[in-house]
Amino acid sequence: MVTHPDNTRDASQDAPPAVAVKGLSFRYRALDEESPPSKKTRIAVPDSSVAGAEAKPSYAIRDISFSLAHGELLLIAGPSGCGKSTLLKCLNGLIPHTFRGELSGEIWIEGRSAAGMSLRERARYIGTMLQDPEKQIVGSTVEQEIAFGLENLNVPRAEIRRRVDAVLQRLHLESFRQEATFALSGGQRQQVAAAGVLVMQPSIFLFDEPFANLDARAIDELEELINSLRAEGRAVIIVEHRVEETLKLRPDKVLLMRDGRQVFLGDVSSFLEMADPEQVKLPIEATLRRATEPRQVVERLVRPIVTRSAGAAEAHPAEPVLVFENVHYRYEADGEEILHGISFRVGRGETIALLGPNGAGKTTLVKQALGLLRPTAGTVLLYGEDTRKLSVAQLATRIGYVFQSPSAMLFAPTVQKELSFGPENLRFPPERLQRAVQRAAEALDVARFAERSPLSLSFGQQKRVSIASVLAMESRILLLDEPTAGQDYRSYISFMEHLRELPELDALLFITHDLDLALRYTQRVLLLKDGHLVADGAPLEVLADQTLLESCNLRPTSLLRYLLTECSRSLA
Amino acid sequence: MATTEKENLSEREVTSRVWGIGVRHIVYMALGAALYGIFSYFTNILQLPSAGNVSFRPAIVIPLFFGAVFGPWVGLFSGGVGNLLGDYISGYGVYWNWDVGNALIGFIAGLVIYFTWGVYRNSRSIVLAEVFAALGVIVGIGFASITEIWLSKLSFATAVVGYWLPAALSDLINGLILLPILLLAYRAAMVRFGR
Amino acid sequence: MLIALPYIKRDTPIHRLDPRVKLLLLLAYGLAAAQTSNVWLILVGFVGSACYYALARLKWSETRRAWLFIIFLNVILVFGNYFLSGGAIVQGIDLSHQHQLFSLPFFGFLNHPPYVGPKPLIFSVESITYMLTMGLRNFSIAFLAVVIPYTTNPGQIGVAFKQLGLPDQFAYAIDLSFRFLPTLARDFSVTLDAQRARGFELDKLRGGIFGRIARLAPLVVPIVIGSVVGAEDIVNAMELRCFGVGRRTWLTELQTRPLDRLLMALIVALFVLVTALNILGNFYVSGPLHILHEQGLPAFLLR
Repeated sequence: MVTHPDNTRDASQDAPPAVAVKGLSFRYRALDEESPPSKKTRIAVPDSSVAGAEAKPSYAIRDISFSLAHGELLLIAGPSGCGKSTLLKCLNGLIPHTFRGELSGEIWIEGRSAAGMSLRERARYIGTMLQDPEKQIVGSTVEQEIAFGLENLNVPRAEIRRRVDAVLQRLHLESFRQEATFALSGGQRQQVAAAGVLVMQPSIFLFDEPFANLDARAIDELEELINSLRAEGRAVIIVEHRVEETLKLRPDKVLLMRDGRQVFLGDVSSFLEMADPEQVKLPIEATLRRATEPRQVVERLVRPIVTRSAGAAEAHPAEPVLVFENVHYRYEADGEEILHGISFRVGRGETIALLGPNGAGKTTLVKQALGLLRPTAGTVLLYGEDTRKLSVAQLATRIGYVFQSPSAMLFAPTVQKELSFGPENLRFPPERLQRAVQRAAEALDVARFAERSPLSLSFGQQKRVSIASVLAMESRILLLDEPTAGQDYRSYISFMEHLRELPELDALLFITHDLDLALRYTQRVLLLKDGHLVADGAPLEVLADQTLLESCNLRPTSLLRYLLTECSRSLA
Repeated sequence: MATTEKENLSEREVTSRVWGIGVRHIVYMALGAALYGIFSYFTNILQLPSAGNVSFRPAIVIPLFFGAVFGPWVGLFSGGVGNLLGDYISGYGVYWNWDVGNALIGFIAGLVIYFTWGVYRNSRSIVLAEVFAALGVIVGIGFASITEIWLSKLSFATAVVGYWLPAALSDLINGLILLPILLLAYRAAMVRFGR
Repeated sequence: MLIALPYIKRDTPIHRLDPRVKLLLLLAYGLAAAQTSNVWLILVGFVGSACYYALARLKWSETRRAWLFIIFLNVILVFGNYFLSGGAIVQGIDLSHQHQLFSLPFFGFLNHPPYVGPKPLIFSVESITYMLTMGLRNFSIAFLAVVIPYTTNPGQIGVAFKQLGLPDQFAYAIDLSFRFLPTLARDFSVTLDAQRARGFELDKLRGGIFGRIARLAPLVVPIVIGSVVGAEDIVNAMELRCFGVGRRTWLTELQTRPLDRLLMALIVALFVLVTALNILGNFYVSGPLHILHEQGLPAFLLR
C-alpha cells in the first residue's frame, strides 16, 4: 500500500486511517436556463427540500475535515439540507463522477488520494448502502442481486458463485437464494442489499439513513451486521438524523453538520452536551439534562391532539363516527384470511394511532373503511351507515385517506387544480367547491403555492398539498398513513404541530409504527398483529406491556421508558 | 458561459448527446419498457373503457415520452422491448413485427431531441415533440401493418382498414393528448431537482 | 394488484429447450410460412406446431385469455379480409382462373367513382381454401408464439439475448425491466387506490373520447413521473456497483444441450430449403420445385 507523505500527520497510528478528509468543499454547478441539458451529467441541488433553481447555488458542503480508523464508526448527523448526502457522494465517488461541480479539498482512502480514482477503483474500498433498499436492489432474485457488482467487474463465474455463497451463509440468507427480491420484507430487503455490497469486500461502509422504515427486528439485525463489520476492522460511516437509534451502536465519533458546515466533531458524550434537541432527535435523557424543569419538557412533548372542541363533542357524546363490527377479510374466496374479526369504535374528537408491525394488516384494515376493499364478513359503519351500501366516491365525502407517499397522487398542473380534483369528482357546486378548496389550502398553508405545480414542490410541501387535497373533499375523518415518513426530525415535529391547527375534524387516525408519535400526539392506541386487534387503550397503558411490544416487533423508545418510570414513580 | 457552451458544441458532441448511451440511458430504457409493458397489460386486463371502435391504449404515450426526453435509443428500446413485454406478461406470445413497429415509434419520436435536447420549456418544443410523435406512430404502425400483408397474406385494404387505421388513429389520439401532459409534469418535477 | 407472470414451472421437453431455440423457431417458421400458400404444406406446419404446443402441456385454463384474444382477432381479420376484398383474396399463387361456386350481393371498393358501392362477393374453391390456409397459418404461428411466455423463465430472457449477440448493457436492460415490473404494478394499484379515494372512477370517466383520455392523467402522471424521478437513485446504485465499466460476466448461463444445437441447425436448414424452393419455383412452371407456388388442390375439386 502506498503511503503518501501528506498522510503521516496522524502520528498516533502506524497504518493510515481508513478515510481521511481535509478541508473538503463542494458546490454544484451553476444552473443556467439556456444551458443545454447534458445527458451524461446530472445537476442537482443538495437536498430536495431546497427547491429553487433560480437561486445561485452556494456551497453544499464547506471545509469538512475528519479521519476515521479501521473498525471505527462515525455518525454524521444533521437536519435535511445540511449537506450530509453531498458529503456521502463525495466519499463514494458519485461526486465528481456523476454530479458535476466545484470540488476542493482532499479525500484519502486507505492512504491513497481519491482524486482521480475511478468509480471502479473506489468500489474496491467503499461500499454504499442507499437510503431506500428498494432502489438499491437491481436484481430480480436474491442471487442475481448479490452477484450484480461482481458480474460488472467481470469476475469469473466460479469465483462469483463462491463469494455469493459465502455472503449468503454469513447473513443466514441461504434459504432465500432463489427468492424474488420484490417479495422480501423490509428487513430482509435491507439484508439482501447489504449482502450485495458486502460481496465486493469493501473496507469502508457508508450507510445513508439506514433506520428509516424498519421494524424492531430488522433494526436488531442491522445493528448486528454493523457491529460485525466493525469487529472485522471495517470502518463504518452512518448518515442519520435519528440520532437516538444510532447511538445504541456506540459511535466512536459524531460529526454534526448544519448548512453545509461542520459544527461539531467529537465523541458521543460531548456531542450530547452540545446538540440541539430541536434539530436532531436525541434520547430523552439528553433532552431533559439540558432543561431546567424536566416536568415542563415532558408536558410540552406529550400533548395529544384533540380534533374537536369539548363543546361540540358533548353535543353528541355517545354517537360513534366509525364502527368496525367483527370485520373479516380475505382477498380471494379461497385465500388466506387477512383480518380475523376486528371490532372497535371511534368517537368524536378522538386521535388514534393504529400501530402494528409491517404486514399486520393495517392498510387492509383502513381500506375497509374507505370502501377500497369490502369486508368478507362483518360490517363497517360510517356515521351509522353501512359502507357496503356506499360507493368509494360517496365514502370520500365522509372519510379521507392520505397515502404515505405524496408522489403517488399528485398529478395536476397547479396546486389549485390538484385541490379541486376531489371536489370536482364529487360534483360539488361551484361556490362550495371554491370555499372548500380555499379552506383546505389555508389550513395546510399551501395557498401561497396555488399556481405552482405540485410536482415542483419539496417533499414536505407536497405532503401538505396531498393532505389539503383530501381535506378539500370536506371529509370529517382523516386517516394518515405514516405521516412522518421521509421527513427529518425538525420537519416532522413542525408538520405534526401543524395538524393541531386543522379545522374541526371528527376524528384523526395515524397508521404508523412510530411509538413516539403515538405517545406524543394521540389519545388512544389500537395495536394490530397478524390480523387481530391485540390491544386498544390509552397509549401509555397499551405500550407498558413489554412482552406485547416485543411480540409485535415494536422497540421501546427512550421516551417510552422514561414515561413509564415516571408513571411508576408517581404511583409509588 | 452556458450559451457559449451550446454554440461551441462540436459535431461530435452533438452526436454523442443524441446517440450516446450511459448508465442513465440503460436504466431509463428498462424503466420505459417496463412501464409500457405494464400499462399495456393493465389495458388488456382491466379492459379500459373504449369508445366505439377505437380501443383505449394510453400506454402508447410511454415510448413517445421516453423518446422525447431521453433520445432515440431509449425510445426504441421502450417501444420495442415494452411491446414485447406487454405481450409476454399478458401471455399473448411474441409477435416480432409489432415489436419492431413499436421500436420504430419510440425511435422516431426520440429524434426530436436533435431540436429540443430533451428540454420542454416552451410550446415550440412541445409542438415539435408532438410532430415527431405523430410521425413515429404513423410510420411504426404502418410498418407493422404492411408486414402483415406479407406475413399473414392480408390484402392491402385489410391491412389498412383492419390494422393501420384503427391502431394508428387510437395511438395518435391517446399519444398526442397524453404526451404534452407528461412533458409538462416532467418539467415541473425537474424544477424540484434544479435541472 | 399484483402482476402474475405467465411462466409456469413444469418439466416438459419445451420447458427444457434453450429459449433461443424457441425464438428462432418462431421467427424462422413465420418467415417460411409467409413464402407459401400451399394448403398441404401449411397443414403440415399446423400439425407440427400443434404437436409442439401439446408437448408443452399447457392447460386451457392457463392460456384461456390469450387464446380468446387470438381467436377473436383472427376471426375478425380472416373474415374481414374476405369481405373487404370481395372474395378476391388469393395472392402469390399461380392460377389461371378460379372455380367459382356462387356469389352474394355485397359492397366493396370500386376502381372508379364513387369508389365504394355494390359489388358481388365471390366464393370460389380457391378463395375458400385460401381463407382456410390463412387461418391455419395464423394459428400455427400462434402455437409457437404462445408457448414462449408460459414455458420460458423470465430470468433467462436477458441472457438469451446476450448470447444472441446483443451488447451487455442492452441485454441487462431487459433483465432490469423484469425487475421493475412488480414494483410498477404495485405503484399502479397504490395510485389507482389513492385517486379512487378522491372520487376518481375509472369506469365512469366524463367527456368525449378526448376528454376521457385527458382524464387518465391522474393515473398516468404519478406513476410515470414518480418512477422516472426515482430512477435517479437506481442509476446511482448501479454506478456505485460498477455497472457499465466494461465487459461483464453473467452468472446465469444458458445450458445449450446437443439437442438444442441440432434443433437450431435443423430449423435453419429447413428455412433455407423453403427459401431456396421459393426462389427456384420462379423458374419452373410445374413439378416438385414449383410446389410453394401452388395451392395444391386435388383435381376433383376443380371440375
